[in-house]
Amino acid sequence: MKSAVGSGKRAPLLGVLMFCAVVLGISGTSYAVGITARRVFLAQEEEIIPIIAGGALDEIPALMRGNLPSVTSSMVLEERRREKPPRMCEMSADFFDDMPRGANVPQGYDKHNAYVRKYRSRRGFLNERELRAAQVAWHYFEQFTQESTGLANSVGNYPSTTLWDTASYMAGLVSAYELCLIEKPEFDRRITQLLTTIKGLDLFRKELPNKVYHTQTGAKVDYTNKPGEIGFSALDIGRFLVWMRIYKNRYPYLANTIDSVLLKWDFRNVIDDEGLMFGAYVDKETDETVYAQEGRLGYEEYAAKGFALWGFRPRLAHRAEPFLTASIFGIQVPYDGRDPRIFHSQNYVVTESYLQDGLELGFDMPHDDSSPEWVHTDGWRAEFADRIYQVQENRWRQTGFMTARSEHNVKGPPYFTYDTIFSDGYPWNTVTPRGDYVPDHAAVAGKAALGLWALWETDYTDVLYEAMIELYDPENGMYEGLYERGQGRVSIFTANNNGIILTALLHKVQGTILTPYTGDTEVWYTAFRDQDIRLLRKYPDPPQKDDWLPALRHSVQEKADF
Amino acid sequence: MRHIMQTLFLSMAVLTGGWAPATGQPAIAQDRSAEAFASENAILDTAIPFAIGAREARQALRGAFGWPSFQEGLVEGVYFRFDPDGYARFAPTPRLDVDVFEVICRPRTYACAARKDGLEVFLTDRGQLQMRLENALAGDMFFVSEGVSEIQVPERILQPLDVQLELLLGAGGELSTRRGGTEVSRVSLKGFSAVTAYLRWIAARQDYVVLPRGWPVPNAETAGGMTKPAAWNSPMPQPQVVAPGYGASMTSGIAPPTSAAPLTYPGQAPQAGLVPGGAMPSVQVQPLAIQPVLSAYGAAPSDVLDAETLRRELSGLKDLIVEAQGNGTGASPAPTAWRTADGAFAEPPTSMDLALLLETLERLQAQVAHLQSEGGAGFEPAVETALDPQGSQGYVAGGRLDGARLSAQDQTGERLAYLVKQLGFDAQTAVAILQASPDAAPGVQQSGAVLGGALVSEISMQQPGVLYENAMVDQILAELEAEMVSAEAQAPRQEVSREEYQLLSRYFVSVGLPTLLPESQPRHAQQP
Repeated sequence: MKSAVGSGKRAPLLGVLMFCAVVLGISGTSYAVGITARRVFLAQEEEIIPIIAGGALDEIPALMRGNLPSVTSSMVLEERRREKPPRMCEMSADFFDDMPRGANVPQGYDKHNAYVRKYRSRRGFLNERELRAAQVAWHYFEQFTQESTGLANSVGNYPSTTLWDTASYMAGLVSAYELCLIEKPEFDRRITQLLTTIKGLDLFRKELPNKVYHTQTGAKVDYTNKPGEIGFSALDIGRFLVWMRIYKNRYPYLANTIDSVLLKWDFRNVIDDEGLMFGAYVDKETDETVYAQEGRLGYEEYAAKGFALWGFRPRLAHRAEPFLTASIFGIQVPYDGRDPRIFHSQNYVVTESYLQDGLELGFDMPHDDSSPEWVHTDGWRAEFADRIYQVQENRWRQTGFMTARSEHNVKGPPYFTYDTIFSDGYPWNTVTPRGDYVPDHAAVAGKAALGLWALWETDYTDVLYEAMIELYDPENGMYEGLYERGQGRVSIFTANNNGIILTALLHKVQGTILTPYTGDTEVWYTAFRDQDIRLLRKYPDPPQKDDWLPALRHSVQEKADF
Repeated sequence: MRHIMQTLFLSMAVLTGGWAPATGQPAIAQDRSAEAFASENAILDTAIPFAIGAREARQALRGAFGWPSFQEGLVEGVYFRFDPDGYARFAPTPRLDVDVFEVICRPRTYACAARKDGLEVFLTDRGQLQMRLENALAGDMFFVSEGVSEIQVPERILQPLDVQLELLLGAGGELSTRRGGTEVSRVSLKGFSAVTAYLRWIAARQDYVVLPRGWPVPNAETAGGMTKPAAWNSPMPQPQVVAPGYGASMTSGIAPPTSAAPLTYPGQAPQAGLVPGGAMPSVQVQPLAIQPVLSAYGAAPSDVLDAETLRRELSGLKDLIVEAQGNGTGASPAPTAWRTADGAFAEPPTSMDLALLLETLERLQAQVAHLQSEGGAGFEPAVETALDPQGSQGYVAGGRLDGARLSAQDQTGERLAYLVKQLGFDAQTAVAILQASPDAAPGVQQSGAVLGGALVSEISMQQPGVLYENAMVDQILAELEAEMVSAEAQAPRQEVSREEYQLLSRYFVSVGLPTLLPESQPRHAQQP
């Protein structure tokens, strides 16, 4: 009994001791584990996440960013980069036999907002008629290139040109070389002289090239071709940048020359921080430079992609908004939503800007160098282009008017017309640069007809082809077009028309004209890193993935809208 | 050695034509389209508004050439746009797509024509408005219709238009042409008045003074240098007509505004064609393009005086006299009468009146000379040319007082020689002018006063018109006019004989100031 009582008294004390011992043991263990874990984890952090100079985690100052590679889709997605196709005369006879066309790929947007069109573009060798047209179109540039400067006249023998038309000449030159109309010595002689001249051009107020230059002297002139300065055009420069990039990517041996041309230019005012493009003109009263937003739906996005190809970030200019649609022959035709009465700038809807995007850039994003031909990563551009095509075919089918509308020159007053699908609130509006309605000047534009033929392989474009492929003067080039009301040919010859026709023919042989860049770093990105010139002139850094323009989509028209 | 060989090779290549550069240019027909935009073809400044609310805008140029700007606006119910080369469209819809008057100017001139369907409107060399209808033949009848009502207009609408016809056509409606009861053409006249104003505005180098009264031009003060303040702000009637002699030097003259009474020229031969035998088309004398001479007293030096303009004005007056004399010789004097500003007829002024008027004219001359002296040294040569003392003396028929230094006989002889040799008067007229001088012998003063008065009257008759755009001269002329009116009121009318009256008439008829002719009187005074 005692022993039971006695053991019962010792038990609480023992319990307290044991509790304290356990607590001390746990605490000591926890501390030891914590210390050990801390040592272990800290040691692992230093070993696992090292920041390597020039690596992904290294916040490289601007001074050192030039050596970074431009990030393209092939690098990020680890896809195979496209390759530059051979010249037509170097292609094997079965070159097109096994060419994948994506015939079974369904039409519409994919999850990355890329778009697959309903129709495919034409591919194959040029037949005799097409080759003849190409030779005649190239003959325009043979005739009207000034040997003193290497610049080609915009219109016939009038010695004046713009950067837009100079880009058309560059398009004609590439096409002539790739279609084997000329050989490399001739190609090199022409392009070297041209680039040398362009580098030496007197810029508009030391910023960017003037709108117009005299082709015989290379002097900047006004619209009357008298010495003077007008301003610069962001759209013209954008198109020129597209072709400079095409040359640089296709012919790496020209890269240094091309970069040195652009490294003379000052881009501080042409794109703002929002990514909107600005042109410049001279105020007549004060003689000061006025910068004004430039570009409307169609041309604006095309030019924006030209800037993006050189690392600029024209985010706002590349977006379709603000845009509206007009229902024409069941098609919701998109047009720029900025009211001309307020902004004093017309919202012309023409074929040309979409054609150039399709032919030269494949309706792809500037960073895309890997998607197949039938996938257009700049999806909404391809989808809008489909509407532009379809509304013209519908007009032909419902009214009988063969339709391929674009801006074009005409012989005699008013000398130039915007032959539009829609503008100023009216469908099929043919207007002069000041807005007069001139329906008698409506025409089937040669460049638009053959551009549509190249990008849309349809019965309708076959009709356009038949109307246009022999519309030439062997001595002067392809005619500008065919009057819609039966007045015959538009008897005028221009660099733009012949250049775009050559591009369309080259597209049939080689596909998208822009090919991937195959080099590493570029002088364009590395030059002047030790000076403040890059900062002052707003030269960009090599674009990284975060700098890519966003791929967007817009609502798709499901059914005809009458 | 290698360099020499290269040079030789290149030289041979060039000589043999093997050098590609020279062979590149084709021998094709020159494309002149781009040259239409040469700066020499710009005749208008699109920054100067044609009417209130018009604005200059930039053309949407994509190419390498074109006009960089244009002007658009709305006036008198029609929309318009025009380019620096004068090419314009006027239409009742903002799209300028239907019912369009299209104006095309001959390159590098101010000669423009407006066209709509078969109708063409243009200014003649004398600045008169004239129409041409494509399908019109002799014997066609013309009607202006508005809705269900219509009015027949005479065939002389195809001749230079008088103001009544111009106002009628400018009122709108449609002009129809009928042949044998069948309508052969119908042209809308919508925009007619605006386009005719535009034609005159071009010819006047964008001077607002030629636009019709009530035309909505911008206020001179707010428009800065675009308007001509001295002319536009003048309380005096705006210039409307000027001497025909000025028109000869102008490619295309300025016609008077439509609201102005036209100055008919009886000496003008009827133009062959559709004019009825007895009907004489009224001819508007070509007006003068005059730069603003004087804005106001005490204005800035640059605005004070244009000696060249003064010289031209005086020269014009001299031409008038010469031309009048040339036309008047041999012509039978015709009776005529004075017509006052309100159109009533009055007796011609007496010698006393004329003495007063001559004195006023002398004062005017002195003031002009004074102004020239104030105009700065730069004006001196021109002023000397314009105001030669002898010429001044002769011109005002002895109005200068410095003749006191000469004997009366010498002075008279010198004046006579000047009038005959320099101004081309015949001896009889020169003597008559001298007789009109206030310091001439009393015996000859009475008859001679008539011609002196003629000179003053000529100036006074031109006053509503135009020669003087500046406020100072306008003011002087207003004073002159007031004095003439008061002199007429005070004058004893019996003092003028019928012969003196005829002499005066002969002069004015030959000069061609129609307002001196009574409308009821047969136009037998017309000169061939």
